Amino acid sequence: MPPVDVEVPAPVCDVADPPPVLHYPLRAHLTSALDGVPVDVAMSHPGRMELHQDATIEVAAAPDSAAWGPALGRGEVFAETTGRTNGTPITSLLTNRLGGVAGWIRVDLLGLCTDGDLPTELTVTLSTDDDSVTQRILLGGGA
Amino acid sequence: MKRLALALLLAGCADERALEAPAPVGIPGCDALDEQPVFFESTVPGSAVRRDQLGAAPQVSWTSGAPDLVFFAPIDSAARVVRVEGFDHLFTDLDGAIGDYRADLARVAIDDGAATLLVGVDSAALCALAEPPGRLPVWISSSTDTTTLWIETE
Repeated sequence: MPPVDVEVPAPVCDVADPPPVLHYPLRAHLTSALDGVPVDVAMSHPGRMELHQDATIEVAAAPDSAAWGPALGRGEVFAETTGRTNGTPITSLLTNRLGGVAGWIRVDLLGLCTDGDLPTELTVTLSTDDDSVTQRILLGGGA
Repeated sequence: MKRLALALLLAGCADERALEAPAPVGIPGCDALDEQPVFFESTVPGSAVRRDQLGAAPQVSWTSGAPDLVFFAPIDSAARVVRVEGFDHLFTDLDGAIGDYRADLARVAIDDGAATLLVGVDSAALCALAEPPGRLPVWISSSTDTTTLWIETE
């Protein structure tokens, strides 16, 4: 099954008003539903792209107000990311009981802007011992 | 060795439990928007999400593909809503209290057969851009699938 491209608007590379860090929800599924299978994740721009789990993405504290309180009290998550992390990026994921893997691809858009020519395509490759698949993140797809 | 075939289950895949790509949501163009954010409801039916084998309540996640322009709020945070003529599911004039916290990640439990939240678009920020994008992505995820909800400006 071929992977489906992901499209995002091209970032506006303005240092005075930098583009926010992008978090893409990487969700993949092993057709064989096996628990605990390691899946390596490699990225095209490792200096500007990182793989994270929920716990290492820093978020601002939600306000204690009538608007947010009921939802947060139900255990729902409404997170405003700060763009920072508080942990080390990882390079692999383990499948869960459903044969799936879940992680976050963090993309430093400002860093890509300052590197020079802004790429139009980023790639994320997931690999097991005997198979791999690559997903493309297209910058400029929102135009 | 048993071969493991990796498959990214995204929009349009044949798996009956894969999330379906929702229809794009249209919002007015900048000539019709004012400084206030616009909001609309986004709903995912629970039938589209795989049940956790341990029986835990499944959840649906929303992620902004344009964190400076698109954000989320609980469905019950709306103090007052007004439907804008000509645009389905579009609401405005929400309680300003939610505007000071821009959640760009959200995870909502499936309740009464569906998960629902409000998606907000920062009209002022969008229209301040020299070249506003014609569409903005929101990624909707379950534990194993991701699909894209597109917000399109008219």
